[in-house]
Amino acid sequence: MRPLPPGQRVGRWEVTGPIADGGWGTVYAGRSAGDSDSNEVALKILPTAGLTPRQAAKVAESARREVEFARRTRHPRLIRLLDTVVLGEEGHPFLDGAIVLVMERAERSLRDLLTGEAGEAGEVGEVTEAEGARLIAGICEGLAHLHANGWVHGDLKPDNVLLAADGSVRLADFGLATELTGTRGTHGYAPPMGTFDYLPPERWKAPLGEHGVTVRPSADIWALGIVVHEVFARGASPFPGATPAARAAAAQEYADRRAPLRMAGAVPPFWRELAADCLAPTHAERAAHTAESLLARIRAHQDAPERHMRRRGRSGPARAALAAAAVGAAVAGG
Amino acid sequence: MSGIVIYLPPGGGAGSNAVTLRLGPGEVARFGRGSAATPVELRLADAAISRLAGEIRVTDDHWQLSNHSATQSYLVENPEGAGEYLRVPPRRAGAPIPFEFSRVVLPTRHGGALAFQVFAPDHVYLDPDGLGADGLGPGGAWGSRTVTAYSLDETATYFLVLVALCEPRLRDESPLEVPTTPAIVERLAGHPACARLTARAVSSHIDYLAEEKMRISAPAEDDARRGGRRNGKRETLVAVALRFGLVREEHLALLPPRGADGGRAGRPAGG
Repeated sequence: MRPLPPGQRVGRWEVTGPIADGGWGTVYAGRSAGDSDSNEVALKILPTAGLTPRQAAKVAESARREVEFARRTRHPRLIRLLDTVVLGEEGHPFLDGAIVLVMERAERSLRDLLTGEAGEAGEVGEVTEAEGARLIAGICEGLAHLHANGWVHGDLKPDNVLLAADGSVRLADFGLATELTGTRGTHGYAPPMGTFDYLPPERWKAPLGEHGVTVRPSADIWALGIVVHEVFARGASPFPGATPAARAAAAQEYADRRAPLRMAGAVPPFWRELAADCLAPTHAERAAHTAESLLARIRAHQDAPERHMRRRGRSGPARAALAAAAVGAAVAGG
Repeated sequence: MSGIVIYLPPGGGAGSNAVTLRLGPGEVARFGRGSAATPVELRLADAAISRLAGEIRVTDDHWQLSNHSATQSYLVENPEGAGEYLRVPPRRAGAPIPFEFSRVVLPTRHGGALAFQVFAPDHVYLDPDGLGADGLGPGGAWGSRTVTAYSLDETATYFLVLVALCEPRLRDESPLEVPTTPAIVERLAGHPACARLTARAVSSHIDYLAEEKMRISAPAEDDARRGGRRNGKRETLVAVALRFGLVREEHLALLPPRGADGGRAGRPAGG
């Protein structure tokens, strides 16, 4: 697809430059047209031109999920949807019929941070324990809000965890977000899509019905376990293998209890334990650990630096940051 | 990743019944004549086959074959590959087998052969859309991309069967009609790969799609209402394939041209 030039009008917005090429579309930086002082926004353009009606319907369905989701949930840890535009661009066939989601602009993604693409000083992808704790707490806050409101993200991964200019966490990409239904709101149905490295083991055996596959909040918790490991292991998955298929097979082997969970040595003890709980092999075992209960454990841990410092001798900056963050007497959490 | 399925037809094993084994990732099945001292998971009843003839290990999305024979080569044929096969020489350890469908052939006495089948439904295919120039970095970067988690081999016979099942709805000819097995045999008869396709083969392809590839959960009440389990399964298969874009308009080109009498007004062939 031909890139959009800076200055290209998109509804009442204008393109200022490219950001990324995603699975279903392209994301551009933009701003309110003719207002160079306005805040930057992200323009996610989902073209439908040239697609068959069914492909276009798939794109529209994804956009519909994002919009529906944004309308019903709002939280400082979730990226905000500011506007949606459906373009009717004569003379620009690529844009004709494109759906544009106008969103709050983040600086970069957690993936960028872990792969060092955005120019981090020091070792590529190395995250201090305090910084990791802050990031994971932010993700948990977003997830806890989602789950409490009856939604499952469905595609949690570092690419979809965005970081604002001030470093704060925003969950993004709600194209697979699913509202929980069922008599007690325990599960929902999503299209049979996902990201290999983050799919819970039960998904490989999940039946596919006319509404899609069953999705439960525990799927996000599994993905969170992978992300926790990645944060402290420079983006490496806890499951061994050179390809996504190999890692998915390794996860399955672990879930069938034929292989132990082997996490990288770089993952600090508290986070190792937390990730192991997130990565409990079955939905039933994982269900005991909700985003809310995990968040409570993380906060108790962040409030208890002394205990932590005695156990670990290294990582001076992390200790200093933790000590600085500590307010009042610490109560050791479970 | 759900593993593989091994199928030994009736008469090949110890009893007269067919044997089906399911192996998950990392699991191993030994095969051979077996004995009390050399247990095997898959018993092959032929005096010419060693007690421990070989072993199958599930790796990633495929499987590996080890040949424990010191003298015999084993053949692994791709039944859909127009004669495509691999020869696994004596004592070869862990030869990776790239076929989704395989027929493992072991020589027996008097120039005969004994064969069993292995299905590897986990093979991964990348999505046709959404793979830009930067889509695939080295090191399997697609692990971080959102993909359809059910992937089908669009060159396989099962895919032709699925497209034929979906055809009436894709052509907007009938919102309800799902072709019967005889109708599919007739519809695919003109395709070079399907000249010898039998009704039984079509049924097995449908079962394979429903049970191993897409793991269809057919609503039970539908079965009762429509008066047949098979139709419930087929209808769900079609509904799911169309709804989630596994079969699309462009796939109609894979089907042979309709015959002179098989056009729009064609009768729904068979029962």
